Parts: sequence; structure tokens; C-alpha cells
Amino acid sequence: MAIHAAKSGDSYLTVSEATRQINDTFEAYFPQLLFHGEISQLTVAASGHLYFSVKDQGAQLSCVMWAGMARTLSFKPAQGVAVRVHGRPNVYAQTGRFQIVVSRLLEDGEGELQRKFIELKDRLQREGFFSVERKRPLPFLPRAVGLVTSRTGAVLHDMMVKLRERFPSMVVYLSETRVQGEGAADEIATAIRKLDDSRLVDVIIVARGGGSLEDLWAFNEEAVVKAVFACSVPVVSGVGHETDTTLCDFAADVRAPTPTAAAEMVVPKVTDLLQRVSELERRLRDFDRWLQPMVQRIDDLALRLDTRASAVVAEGSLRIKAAEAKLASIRPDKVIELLRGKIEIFHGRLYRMGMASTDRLNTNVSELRDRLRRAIPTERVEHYRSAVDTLGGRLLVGVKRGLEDAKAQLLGLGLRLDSTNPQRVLERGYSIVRVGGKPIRSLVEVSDGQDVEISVTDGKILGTVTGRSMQR
Amino acid sequence: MAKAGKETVVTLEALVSGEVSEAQVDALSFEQALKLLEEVVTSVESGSLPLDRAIGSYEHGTALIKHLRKLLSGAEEKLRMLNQG
Repeated sequence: MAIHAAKSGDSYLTVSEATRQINDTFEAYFPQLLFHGEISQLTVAASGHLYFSVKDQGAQLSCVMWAGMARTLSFKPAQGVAVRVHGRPNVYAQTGRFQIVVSRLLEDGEGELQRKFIELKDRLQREGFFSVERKRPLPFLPRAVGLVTSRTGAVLHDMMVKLRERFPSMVVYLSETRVQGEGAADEIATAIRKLDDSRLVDVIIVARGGGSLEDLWAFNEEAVVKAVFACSVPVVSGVGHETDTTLCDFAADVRAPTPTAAAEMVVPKVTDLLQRVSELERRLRDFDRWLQPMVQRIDDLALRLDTRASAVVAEGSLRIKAAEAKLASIRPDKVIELLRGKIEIFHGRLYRMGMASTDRLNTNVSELRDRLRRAIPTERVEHYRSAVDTLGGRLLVGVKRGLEDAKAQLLGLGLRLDSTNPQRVLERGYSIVRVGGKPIRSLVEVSDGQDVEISVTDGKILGTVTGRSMQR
Repeated sequence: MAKAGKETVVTLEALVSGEVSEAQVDALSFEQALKLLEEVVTSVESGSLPLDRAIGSYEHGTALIKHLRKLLSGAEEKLRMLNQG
């Protein structure tokens, strides 16, 4: 046989011939190979061929299933699905790759890992590790970001690029860990705890690139879920691709579809923030706008003052008119006339009764009239009337003066308002002198040799007091 | 002057009445400082403050803007390693 020929060394085969002989041997010894295991690393080629591995705990075999065969499958092959395989071994001549050409693929219940995943998920769910109420919001702007991932590989690089793009000065701490293989879960959990204990970061991203269910398995383990759950700062899970789901995703406060998306979530865009600050700055510097309500209030007060003044004047003149009317109605002559009439009647009655002489009565009447005159003299009425007039005049003058005062005050207020607008004051050539940050108003607030700070429109002048003189 | 506890809460009232030191403003988180600045601008715009306090608020607003800009600027990001072991 050719194999023996190769051993003896007297005849060398070409690689192609060697490959063909290997395949012939396989064909002879394993016309049909039956085995079972779990599908992993499944790829559906554009041609429709299926490329995948079938593995168990200790070994894996590369498999290929031609498109025509693949179309007849009664189930959808997927990562972790347990299968029974009929196939023949073959070395693919072009790459030298050993593979099983699958002729029949049968589903063998649920894949072992898939089953484990679901069991663990259900249990941890019951234990409250995935509770929605526990999810915390991400900080608006973290002091620093913590990364839990592998130091090598594109994932770290891609996240750093995204972080730099959004917020160039963000500080990032890497807590390095292996992300797959035996013991990786404990390492990931430790890396999370270390970042948390350091108190250096306000948010943590747990990240890994895409891979098979086995590759991502560490992120399904209880140790990782518990570490994420126990973390005192919010955790973003960016494990695998959009379609990969791990238990770490469920335990995290936020699940990101990819590591890069996670980086995007944890920091805001610095340009957006600068824009917000600039907008507020513009509003703060807009004096006209914030003085507007004050001007309006002064206008309003002025209007109210005018209204009030007219009301006072109107009320005053109304009262004067009433007093005049009342005075006019008390006519002394009419009173005397009235009394005289009454006396005549009384006189007549007395006369008729013959109880006293008419003369005597006449004298009495004269006396009575004089007393009455003294009691209500016309002069006094006139005096009252003019007193009322004077009072009315004074009232008017008073109200007018009050109005003038108010207007003057208002004008003063307007001037003061204008003069206190710091920008305008400074623009007019005045300056604010401060000692120790406090504006000074009087000589007594500074002493010789003290440093002063003089604010002008465009900045500050620093100086020292060399002397003071009192304004006379 | 620093208060105990890691989070110092600065209110608008304390800020405009001059009870807040420069160091306390510098210790504010971006979010806190931005919120305060928004309150300062809103209260100044409302015109409900007496003029002297409005002018004081203007100065405090300027200090907050300075602090916020400082938080947003700075060197390129640094990747720091957390000690393993």
C-alpha cells in the first residue's frame, strides 16, 4: 500500500495523492459514521451549505452539509442544539481540513447547554436577580467609566473609539479578565467587584464580542449574574451581538445590543452638553430679556399710581360738593323766617289768651331774634363755607403733590434700575472696586496698602490703595 | 468647610445668598451644576428677584458656567488599568 511506501521512504506521493489516499481509507473504514453531540459555530453559506461543529465536552468535529441536503431538514439547526449525525469523514483537499460530510442530521431533543441556560434562567428569575424594579438609571455624566472585558481583541478598541468620539476627556478604567474558558466566570465576577470596590467609576460595562453559546457561556454563569446584581453602580451588559442573549444581560441594569452600543449609552455627547451650557450662558447674558419683566412691573405700578391718584381727587371733590350742598341748604334767613312764623303763631295764641301784653311779647320776640342771630350768624356760616373751600383746595394741592412725588420716585427707580445694570454702568466709564471680592462703597471699607480689584467692561484691573481723600 | 458625606447638595437659595464657597461649586457634579444654572437663569428671567439679587445671580451663573465648561474640557481620554491580583 501507498502508506507503506511513504514509510519506507523510497516513493513520495504528491499532496493531492496523499489526500486522496487518506480519503479512500476513510471511505473504506467509515462508510457511515454515526455520532451525537451539540451543534456549535453554525454558518449558513450564501450557497446554502451548512458549516458547523458538533461537539461534546471533550472534542469537536467540523461538519458540512450540502445545500440540497440542508433544504430537506425537518428542524432549524441552531447553536447548542443536540443532534444525531450520519456522515462520512473526509479531508477537504483544498485546505486540508478534516471534516464530516453529513448525509443525515436529526434533532436530539434540546441541546444540553440550551437546557442548562433555560434552567438557570428560570431559577435566577425566581430568585429575583432579573427583577425589573431593581434596574437603576444610568448616570447623566459619570466621573469615570469602568470596563470589564479582555485586554486583547477588537472589543476594547471599538469601545474606546466610541467613548473618545463622544466624550474625549472621559476617564476609563479597565478591569481586565478572560471572557471565555474554564474559570472565566469567576474572573469576570472578580473584575466587576474590583471595579465596584475601587469606587473610581460611576458605571460599569461588561463586554465581550460575539460567539457561540459555548463561547459566551461564562456570561450565563451564576457567579457573573450575582456579581452584576450586587454591584453598587449601574451595569451595562454588552455581550455578543444583537441576537445573543446571556443571563448577564438579564441581570444588568441596561442591556446593550453590542459593546460599542454600550459605550454609546454610558456617556453623553460632549458637543450636546457644550451646546446646552452655551444656550444657558446666552440666556443669562441677555440683560434686556431679564430686565423686561422689571420694566413691565414699573409700567404697571405707574399705571396703578395714576389710577389711584385720580380716585383720590374724585373722592375729595365729591365730598366738597356734598359739604357745599349741605351748607347751602342751611340758609340762616330761612331759619329765622321759620322761627319768626312760629313765634307769630305763638304770639297770636298768647294774645288771644290775654295772658301777656303784646309789647312785652314783642320785646321778647326781638330778644329771641337777637339770640337767634347770635346763635346762627350769617358770618359764621360764611366762615365755615370758606374754611371748607380752603380745605378742598388743600386736598387738591396735597393730592397733586403726592402724585408728583410718586412720579419723581418712579423716575428715580427707573434711573436706578438702569444704573444698576452692571454692564451699562461699566460701559459708561464707571467701575466696580472690590476688596476681597466685596464691592466697596466708602473710604472706610479700604485701608492704605490694601489690594483692590477694579472691574471694567472687558475685565479686571488689579491695584493697591496708595491714599484716600474724603470728598468735600 | 467641606460638608460630611460625598454628595453636597447646593440649593439655589444658598447659592444666591452667598453661602456657597467657590470650593463647593467646584465639587458639584455636572448634572447638579447644570440644574442649578438652569434654575438661576429661569429665576433671573422671571424678573421676580430683587435687582441686587438678580445681579448676584448673574455672577453665580457665570461661576457655574465656568465650572461646567471645565468639566467638559480636559485632556484626551485615558485608559487606566485597574490592578489585577
